[in-house]
Amino acid sequence: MNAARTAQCPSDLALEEHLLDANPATARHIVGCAHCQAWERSAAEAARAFARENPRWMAKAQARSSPLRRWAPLLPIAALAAAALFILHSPSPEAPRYATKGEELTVYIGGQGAPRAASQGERVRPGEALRFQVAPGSAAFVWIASVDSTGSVSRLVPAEGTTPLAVDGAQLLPGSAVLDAVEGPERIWAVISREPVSWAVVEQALQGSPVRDPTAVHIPGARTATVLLERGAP
Amino acid sequence: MRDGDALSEICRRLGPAIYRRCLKILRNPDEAADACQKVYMQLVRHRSRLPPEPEQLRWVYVVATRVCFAQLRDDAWETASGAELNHDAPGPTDSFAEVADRQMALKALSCATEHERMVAWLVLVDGHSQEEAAELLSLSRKTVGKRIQLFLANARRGVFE
Repeated sequence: MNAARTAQCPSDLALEEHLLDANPATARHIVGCAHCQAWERSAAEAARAFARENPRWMAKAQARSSPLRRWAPLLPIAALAAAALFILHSPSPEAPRYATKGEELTVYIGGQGAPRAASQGERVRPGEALRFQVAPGSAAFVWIASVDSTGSVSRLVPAEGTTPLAVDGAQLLPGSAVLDAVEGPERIWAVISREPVSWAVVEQALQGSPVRDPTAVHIPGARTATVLLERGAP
Repeated sequence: MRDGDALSEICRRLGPAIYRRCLKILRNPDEAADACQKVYMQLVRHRSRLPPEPEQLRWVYVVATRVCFAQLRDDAWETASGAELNHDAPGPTDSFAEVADRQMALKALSCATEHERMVAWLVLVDGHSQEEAAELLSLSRKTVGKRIQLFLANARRGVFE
């Protein structure tokens, strides 16, 4: 059964605003509130459904709404093209920060031979393990996630719980991820913020993002560092 | 940025929130998708006079709320069953108490006008204060207060008589 809303709970609109632009007070409330945590989980679920279905809805909506009736037979194509453009070209208002090894995010690859720090586009093999080091400079909260070629998001660190990992200075993070046999590009993201950002916010921002284009991701209240890996057989 | 690009960016940024809003009120993914398209069409129609970015979420939130309640009203008119809210179907994990509560809420809602329902939803379900609901619906706080009182009075009468 879902926990009931309390008098202290933010309204649905305030929770939506928090997903768009992290609010520290709302974040603190969510950490201790079962109702709002359930709201966040269902919000993430709905965001995944939206990511799957959105291009189809967009196409229908744009085809229906145009006043240029004589072009009507061509409109679904134009709408689909617009939807494709919308997926492929999503300029972000603020360029994220990228890091290569030695900067804010370092991905270490181990398991076969000596551990090494991954460079951008590094080829990795099934069975190899990844560990992550972040160096946010000052005290910060960190999520590590990955996005594959289909735009699916996996949460890596912390693997459980509702709050990101608190990190102060350079730190090798606990836990590791072992690569399975799936091939193709995989982008590792470190999402770094001064105030805790919820996983739902991170997942929503990364969901469906093009794996080879890191500029499409913008997370309000957070900066990002990313490393692209190429998964494949040796 | 071109008009179409700007609109696509708004849909990308606010689309999940629009869908969540529609799904919460309609509780049916297909109907929520239909409502989303109607909201998108409103965005297209009003693209030249959309509010600035910080206020756009509020704008689509209200539009989505109105669209969903209008959809519920139209569906009720079409089915004429009186059980227009999709909340009557028990979910697989619903307990007896949840089903009973939902049926009681449905009975209460059936006594209300569309305007009363929308105000009641914003205040009693979404957790807005009466002041916030008034601001969202461009009504006076007094009108919102009256509609809530009327809704509750009718609901009590409908449920307990």
